[in-house]
Amino acid sequence: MAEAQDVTADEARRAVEAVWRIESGKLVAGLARWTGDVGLAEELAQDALVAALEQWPETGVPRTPGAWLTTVAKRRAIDGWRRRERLDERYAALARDLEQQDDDDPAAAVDEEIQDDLLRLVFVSCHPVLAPGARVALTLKLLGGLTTDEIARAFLVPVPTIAQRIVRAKRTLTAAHVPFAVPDRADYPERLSSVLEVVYLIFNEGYSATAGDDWMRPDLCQEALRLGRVLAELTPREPEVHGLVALMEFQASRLPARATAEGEPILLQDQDRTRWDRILIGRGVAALDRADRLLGARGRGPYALQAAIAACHATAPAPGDTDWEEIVALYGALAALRPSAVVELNRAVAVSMASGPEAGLEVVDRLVDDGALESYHLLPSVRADLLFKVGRHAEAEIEFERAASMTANGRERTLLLARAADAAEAAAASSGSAP
Amino acid sequence: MRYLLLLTTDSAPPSAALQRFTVELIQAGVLLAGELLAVDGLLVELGADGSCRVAVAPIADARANALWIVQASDRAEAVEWARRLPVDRGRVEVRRIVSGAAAEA
Repeated sequence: MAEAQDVTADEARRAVEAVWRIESGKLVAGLARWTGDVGLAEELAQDALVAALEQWPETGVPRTPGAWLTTVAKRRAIDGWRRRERLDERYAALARDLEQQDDDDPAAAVDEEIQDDLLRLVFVSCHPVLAPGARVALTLKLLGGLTTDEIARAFLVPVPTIAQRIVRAKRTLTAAHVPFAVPDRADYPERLSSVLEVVYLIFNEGYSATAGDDWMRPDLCQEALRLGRVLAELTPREPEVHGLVALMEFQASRLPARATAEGEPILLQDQDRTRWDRILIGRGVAALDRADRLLGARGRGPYALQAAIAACHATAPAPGDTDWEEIVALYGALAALRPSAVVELNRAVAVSMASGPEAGLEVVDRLVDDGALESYHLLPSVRADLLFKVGRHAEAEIEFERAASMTANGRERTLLLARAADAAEAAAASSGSAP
Repeated sequence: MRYLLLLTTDSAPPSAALQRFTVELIQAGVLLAGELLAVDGLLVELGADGSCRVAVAPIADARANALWIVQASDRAEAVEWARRLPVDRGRVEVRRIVSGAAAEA
């Protein structure tokens, strides 16, 4: 009997939490516009959540739970302010406002208004006055509706660290008098790229973890995707937002195929493509198309370009069908936009696939001559692979060993040393057979 | 996780209501697919002996008329979405999708 009750209590709590995940972003956003203070809004929202956890298990979830939470949060705020003797003029005005509104259906809050508030909240959570780690934590907390515990678990850091990061972030926003507003036109591009960076940071935190280590980490990819899709509806005319969504959809489509059951990473060329998620690939194609349709005369931005590269892989039925020429061109465009040795190294790999290892090696050697990526193990690793392919086995062995000594990843080191041994054997065989 | 919501109603629900629901799912970033189903359909019966019979499906009073595939953290969240369907009377079957990427994420 007691057990049955526990199950019901557990179900009731889960129902409240489900509403919370759906409503918390909108709730905090609406309260932040009302109070002008994101930190205060979050506290009021938490009060409403506590009330829901107390009452809903008895009463059931109300028909319009979002409106219920908003009303309770506002009433509690005003009660709190009244208890403090001096009700300052600003809060007094809010209280009068609420009483006048009381007859109206709070659910009638116009959808457009909610979306506007949500967008303001996105910009404030990702504000450049905050350190990147703080932006990520605040975004997950305020927009994702994640608890401090969940965020800590996802980022493999202690709970107090995240709690402190969020408290400090809210304090920083207040101290800097960050308005609850969408940035003006002059700041908009930079502020939007900060938002995109935060979403992609969240995604990569989940994506770079190998499968099976921690159940929360693929969830982090899902959460980033959800945030990205929400953002795409809030800013439908921003091509790079759709570019980022497309990139994440394509990358997430490969999640089920990226690692063995033991957690060993599987290279793109070796992945079982039947395990790629067709729904996400379809969504990626649609999002990239949406970005492209908006671009007009403008060229693709860095996210759209990376998405287009991912699309070349995602839409090739087999590795042999990959359009490497197109990928070379896309990496070229990306390098022109954001010159980077890592992009150039990727382009070298694509060139080797499109035009042969000699051509790829030329690109890599230019990088080596420039002294770029000196501590990046993938440079000697790629160079070794290409040297091996063109038959310069002795040089390949040296490069594989150098790459092995530079990587911090044990599995990768083993793999590189094995390839070095192969190269040594091939070198011995070819020198032995030479006249 | 990924869930199928399959809506069954006695009479066709107003399409505006279904559209409003779909937009809500899109704005929440959780919609993966959403489709309306035609009233009429065919019934393909496969027999153990390898036989196959195709018949016009009987038009029952209650029939499935729309489906959605949503991303949700758990069953409770999928149920919460189902609860929000703006139809007066109906039944929503909530099923977890267990294949492909849905199985692991």
